[in-house]
Amino acid sequence: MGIELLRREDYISQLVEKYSDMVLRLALTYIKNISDAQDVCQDVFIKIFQLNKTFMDSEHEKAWIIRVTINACKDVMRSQWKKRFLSINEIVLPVKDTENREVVSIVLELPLKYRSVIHLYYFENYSTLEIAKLLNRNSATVRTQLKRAREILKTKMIGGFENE
Amino acid sequence: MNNKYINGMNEIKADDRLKIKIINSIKECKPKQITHLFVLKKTAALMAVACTFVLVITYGIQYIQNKDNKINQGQSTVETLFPGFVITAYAADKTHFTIKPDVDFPLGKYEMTMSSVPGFPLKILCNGADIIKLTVTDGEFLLWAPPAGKVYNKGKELEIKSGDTVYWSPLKEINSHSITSSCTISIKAFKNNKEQGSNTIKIESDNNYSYIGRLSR
Repeated sequence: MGIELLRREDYISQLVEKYSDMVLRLALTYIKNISDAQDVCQDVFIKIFQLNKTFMDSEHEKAWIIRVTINACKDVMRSQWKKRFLSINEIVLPVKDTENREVVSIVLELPLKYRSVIHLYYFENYSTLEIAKLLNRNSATVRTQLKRAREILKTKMIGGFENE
Repeated sequence: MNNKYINGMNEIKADDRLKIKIINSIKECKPKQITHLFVLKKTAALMAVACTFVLVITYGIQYIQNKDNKINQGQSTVETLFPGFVITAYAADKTHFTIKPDVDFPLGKYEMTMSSVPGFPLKILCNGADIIKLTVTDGEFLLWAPPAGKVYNKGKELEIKSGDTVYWSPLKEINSHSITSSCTISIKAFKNNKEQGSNTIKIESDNNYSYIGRLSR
């Protein structure tokens, strides 16, 4: 049992190394607060450790961790206190480059349904169909949300969000 | 522009301190206990749900049964207080009045030598009823048509039509001098052989043979 436990701890340590950045970024996209995103990050890996789930492949593993992260973020956002807190606090981002920080800030100012789609599409390179599965939405809805998000970003950024 | 988003996001990383914190907190967790606790919690939750279900079913059935009983009682009450009847009683001084539920009404003093009427008259109206069936526990019913003057003894059961006047005599038997002190008259209205409703009149007397009636529930 001890060896099994050590193996599991070792496996989770590998997962932390592999996915903690991804979890933190996704949590930040949802919660817009780095401190809370770090808490979510910790909770997600503890949950993964406790559930001791086995995965078919690394894609399955990644998708499952994303879903656990999204659910953990939703739990945090359900808190009335957090709702109030998130709405009145300015987003503080640990991004040194001013232009990059500004673009990230503008994306994070989008409504949740748009910014989550933007993040998964542009940063995690998921297709709209894959995003639809991850977010449990209709793929047509995701495409519309992506289009709408681009339109909003175009009004806020010179040249829009797409690379020229 | 999305490159700037990607570059910006790439700068956001879980630092080593956070990773160590996560790994340490995982090591502090005892998965076996947690799993065991989780199973226990789940079992407890399931048991609680099952108990609640059993309680809801048990008390729910009782509640429904009680409700049904109440409804049935209500129906019998409705039958008892069937509003279709308009019963008119005539007092000894020949004044008449419509009987109201749970209100005592005087029938007057009965004397063997009553000359004006053969018994206590009750006029029963029930619109829509083909027939009105009367039964009495004591005494007997009489029919009397004043012009002819003949009195018909009808015993303890009688069928009349709406608007008929029936007389109740406290004499226990025909040609008997024994007088009953109380009785219950049951009045049931029928239409097409189907009971429409019923009422009950309880009649009691004091020692002076002064009778009081009450349309009872």
